[in-house]
Amino acid sequence: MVPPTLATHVPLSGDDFLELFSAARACVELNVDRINSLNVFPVPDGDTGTNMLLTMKSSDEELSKLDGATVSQVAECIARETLMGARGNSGVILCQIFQGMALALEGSEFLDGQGVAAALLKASEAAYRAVSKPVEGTILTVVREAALGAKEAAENKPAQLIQVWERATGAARDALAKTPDLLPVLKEAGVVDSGGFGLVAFFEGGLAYLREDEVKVLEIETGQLTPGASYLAATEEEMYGYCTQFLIQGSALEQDAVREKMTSIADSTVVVGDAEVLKIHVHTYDPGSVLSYGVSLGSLTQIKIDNIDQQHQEFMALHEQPVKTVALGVVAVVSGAGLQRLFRNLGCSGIVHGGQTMNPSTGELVKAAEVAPAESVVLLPNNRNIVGAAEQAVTASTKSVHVLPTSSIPQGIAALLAFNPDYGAEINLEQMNKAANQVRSGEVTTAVRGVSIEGIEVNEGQAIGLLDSMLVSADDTIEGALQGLVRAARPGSGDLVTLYWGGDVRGDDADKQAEWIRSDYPYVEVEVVQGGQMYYHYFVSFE
Amino acid sequence: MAVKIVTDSTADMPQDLAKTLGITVVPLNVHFGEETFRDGVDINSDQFFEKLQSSPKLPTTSQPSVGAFLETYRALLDDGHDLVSIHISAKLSGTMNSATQAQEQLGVGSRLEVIDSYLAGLALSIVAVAAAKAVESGASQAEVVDVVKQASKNTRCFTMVETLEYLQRGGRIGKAAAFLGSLLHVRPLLEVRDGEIHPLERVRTRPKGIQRLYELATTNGTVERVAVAHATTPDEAADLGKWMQSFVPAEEIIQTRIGPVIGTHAGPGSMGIAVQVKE
Repeated sequence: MVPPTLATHVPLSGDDFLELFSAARACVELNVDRINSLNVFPVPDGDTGTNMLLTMKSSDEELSKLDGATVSQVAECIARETLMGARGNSGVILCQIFQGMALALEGSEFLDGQGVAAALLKASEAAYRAVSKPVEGTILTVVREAALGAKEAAENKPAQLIQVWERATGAARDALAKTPDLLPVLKEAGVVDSGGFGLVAFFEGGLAYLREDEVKVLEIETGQLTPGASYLAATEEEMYGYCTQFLIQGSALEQDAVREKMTSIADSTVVVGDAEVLKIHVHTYDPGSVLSYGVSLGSLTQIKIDNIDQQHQEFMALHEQPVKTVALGVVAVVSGAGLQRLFRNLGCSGIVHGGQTMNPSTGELVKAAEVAPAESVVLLPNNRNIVGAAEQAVTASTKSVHVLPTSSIPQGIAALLAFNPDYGAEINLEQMNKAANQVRSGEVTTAVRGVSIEGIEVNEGQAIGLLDSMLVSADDTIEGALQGLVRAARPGSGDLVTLYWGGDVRGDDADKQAEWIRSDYPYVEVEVVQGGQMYYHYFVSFE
Repeated sequence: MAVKIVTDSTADMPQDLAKTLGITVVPLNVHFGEETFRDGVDINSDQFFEKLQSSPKLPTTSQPSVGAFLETYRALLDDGHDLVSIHISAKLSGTMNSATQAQEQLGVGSRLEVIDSYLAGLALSIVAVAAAKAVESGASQAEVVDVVKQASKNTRCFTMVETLEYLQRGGRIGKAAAFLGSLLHVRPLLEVRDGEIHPLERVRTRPKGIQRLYELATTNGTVERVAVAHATTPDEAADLGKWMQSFVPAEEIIQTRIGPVIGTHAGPGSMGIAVQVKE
């Protein structure tokens, strides 16, 4: 078979570029199982390769309609279609890479070495922008290094396309090899990054086309995935809720604002797109709240919701590693991504999603206690209305379950901090109870009806402050109610006030309020924590 | 001639007390980059914590050399003393290693006993003081060794640190790693047990932490001996010491300062209390 063009010496036409893309995709497809098997970050659900491949395939139909298109048109088509079809975290980042390329190649009829370098540089920028918290040692590192390699090669003029692509591929391979040094979770699992490997496959496929070789299964040292128990236990922290993906179609969509909001209410947030279409990928316990927010911005399509716990359990079963079980663990009822993260970070063995107006059932509490990797469990209801269900869980569970009747999030946190896994239930309950009772709990929320209590007039829709469940302030503004609450609590010298913000509050609002407390109460420590809870603008602890 | 007690500078023993009780302290070393200081000899706590603030590089520490031990032991042995040398847990420092190598080289048999206290810091002071008191009351070397072993077993050591960063960077974090990476500012309480650092619980404020140190110290048996140490907060240590006066006469409470080597691993703002309890 004689190749139609001598791609190594002349710039690529749109059709050639399409062939290059097909070869790159074919290489990902050939290696897809291996890419999947390496998947440990951010969620070890073993679908990175599949997601990348399906993301690329989503442009097939439209690409097949192109005939004699320019490089620019091909790139634009790939970018547009994959934005709609992107799946999973890695797919979303990959589609962002295509967005960047399309942007750099806009108006180009042909693709040459300089063009490749420019496209990859833009691709790298776009990929980094796509995620709220870029993590090195991932596909991001690989695309950046590839872009830098291409840029260097393109500086040697005349830069032949194949040379630039070769350098990019080599740099991508080198970057991939280094991913375990950059991302500890990879090192611990003994593998290179799966998304990064997927991207290397993409480059290798393109290179095979340029060299007029066949695409093949790559011979790259990737390590063997044998996660240790400690690694799996660690990933447990990230495992929860539902992987929720959808497209928002609207007008004048503000990507950054949407990303900030999504980050405050969910985890593993990826938001990409433009003013007309945004692709959203998040992990959350509460897909409803994420979808409600989405609907407020535009119309939603391609909604896909997967149960991560289930994906994770399948992964765990696949690797047949028992989770380390502790003698005594804590299970807490918490809502809000930030607070849930905090409770896990402080050592909770399990989280039940719930709180005010979202009281979990006894059955949910029993289930959480049963699946927690602990022989016996201390249950923190963190809300007065949940204590009853928690106490029923004691008798309904086959495990030994103890309820510490915490009635607020601040109490729950204080109790959790006093927990010592080396000690038995009795001594822990005593210490945790004592710690919980030493903290005062404040809340700022919105009044759902007018009322007058103890001389405080509240109108419907006003913000109100509660201190240990007693109404202490009402104001037209959230800040006003918070400040009234703080005044009522009268924090003393050496005290600590922690603001867990959520509801309608944004991070900079909370920071401003912290400043206000510091200036009015100079001997008080103030800490601001993102809670992400609904309905409550602030939870406040005074201790 | 009398039995003599040797310990190392991680005990953070007040110099006057060491002098009064005839305890010899072998210094470990603290290094700021190329500069080396002998703990408590070339650098004191004030100088150290000041330097810690201003130095761009975090200090590191090293055990005393075998030679330093040889020198100390020889001088005391030549004066005709039998020795009991008590040190920081071998799981936390190579000091025991240097001491036992010196012991082997000297080959003086039972005249020199080297003992791992499985403790560190102010708790080691308590054991050394218990040993010196036994010597004062005329105990034989073998009896002193028994006293040391008993005291090591009965001494509890509780610490509050501002951050685990220093323990982690110095590689001494042990089981307290469970408390790492908190999204909330918390102050970990730790215990040195079985020669290692164990996590106990976390508190949000210093007053709460000091109260918990007091409770931990006083609810684990009848208190016989007390030591209180601080890195940079003398008033808090004074308060804690005062509270302990209902258990032990004021003059017997060892009030001390965390020194450069322990300070390297605990960091500024650390507080500790150690108690020896009755069986």
